Amino acid sequence: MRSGGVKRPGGDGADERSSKAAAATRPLPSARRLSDKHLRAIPEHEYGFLGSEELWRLMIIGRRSRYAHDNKHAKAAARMLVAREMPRVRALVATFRFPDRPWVRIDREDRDELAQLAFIELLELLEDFRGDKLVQFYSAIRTCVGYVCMRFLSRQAKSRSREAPDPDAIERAAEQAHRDEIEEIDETDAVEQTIAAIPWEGPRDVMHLSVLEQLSSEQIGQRLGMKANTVDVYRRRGRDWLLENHPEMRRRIAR
Amino acid sequence: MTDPDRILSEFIDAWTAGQHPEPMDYIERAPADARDALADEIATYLAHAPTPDYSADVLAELMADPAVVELSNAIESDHGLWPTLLPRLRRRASLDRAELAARLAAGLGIEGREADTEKYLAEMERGTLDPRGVSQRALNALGRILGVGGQALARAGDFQLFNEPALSGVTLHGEPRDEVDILFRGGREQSGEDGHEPV
Repeated sequence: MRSGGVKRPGGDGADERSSKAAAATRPLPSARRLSDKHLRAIPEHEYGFLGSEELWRLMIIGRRSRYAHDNKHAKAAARMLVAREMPRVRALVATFRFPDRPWVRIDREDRDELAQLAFIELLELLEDFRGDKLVQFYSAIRTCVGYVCMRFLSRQAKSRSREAPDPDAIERAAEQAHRDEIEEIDETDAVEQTIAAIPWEGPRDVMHLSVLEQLSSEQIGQRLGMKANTVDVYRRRGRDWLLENHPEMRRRIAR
Repeated sequence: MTDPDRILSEFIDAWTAGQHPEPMDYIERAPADARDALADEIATYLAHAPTPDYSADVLAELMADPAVVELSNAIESDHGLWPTLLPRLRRRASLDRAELAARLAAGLGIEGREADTEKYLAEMERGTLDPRGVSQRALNALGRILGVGGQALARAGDFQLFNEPALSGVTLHGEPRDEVDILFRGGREQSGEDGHEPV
């Protein structure tokens, strides 16, 4: 097996491991993004070189556009996106565990169908999902997989056992959790856009890591190669700018 | 090697190398009492991990994956997702169309009309029946047999990524004539039906 992947330091606790697994993959803020104009100019035969974020954005552009060529590009982008992300969705279905009943699993033969259903849920978000950032897209994938799997397993329990916990109640809870998570992703999108408007790079990056990724000063310093007191100065400057220009952010900044 | 930390690292290596690893192959290597935590860690990783830089060959292989082809065709189609979904659900339930029609007719209280029910099911599977005409009551009953929610079936039928809800190629039947026609062509919302079943 190749060893070129993300190396993770060891750790004993599951929580510690989970946070490290997530932290190891977080993109740095301020990465260069192609403008919509540049994205739309890319020929379809080069879509294999695009990342999932660009493909998702092309779909959103096509969805909102009244031009046939945008629509055509969006379909090609959707095909490529489904191909690139199917392994992730299948793997997430395979790792799904029912809350409080981890022994309830998805059988292998049901995985493709659930992966397709999860994609359908995801694609339906195009209608009103404002998020167009990669991290939000991945969050939405996991949310959709969890929702589809819970719904499927609760239906299965209903058909197999009268003693199973009330599956309709489980479904309603899953639906509510799904809505809450999607709203959270949408809210995060708005917050991210507001933070991106901070006019100085240092404060902007620090606020991104602090508010959106909930990192401590020490962790931010490590990520950005800064001393902790520099992080604190940038955070104060970013907070002041946000509170002055976007007072509606007060609750989110205080989290 | 059964150390969950080590196994997770190996999964991450395989993922970033573009090998699309099978999670269960890794999870089952861990001690029984550590498997759920490892599954959760792999899921957490997958919820953040960058998509690998697939080579052209691997991308071509992924594009040819039957599940991808099926879903892509459904996205391209203007017939919603029933042609993709319904035959698969029926096969999973180990029912041929006639058996499904018989159970659906029983579930809807229209015994004796199995042949008409089967005809409509065939149109739903081919994508030639306007999904918006199928009542929620019929979809809920169908969903109960197939193990999915009626609302999910409705969404799959209505699904259109880029177009208005579909209608090319839809069979024209004229006005609904009787109870069976109304169930399958009378419209999604009909008074006095159990249209509020959760998903």
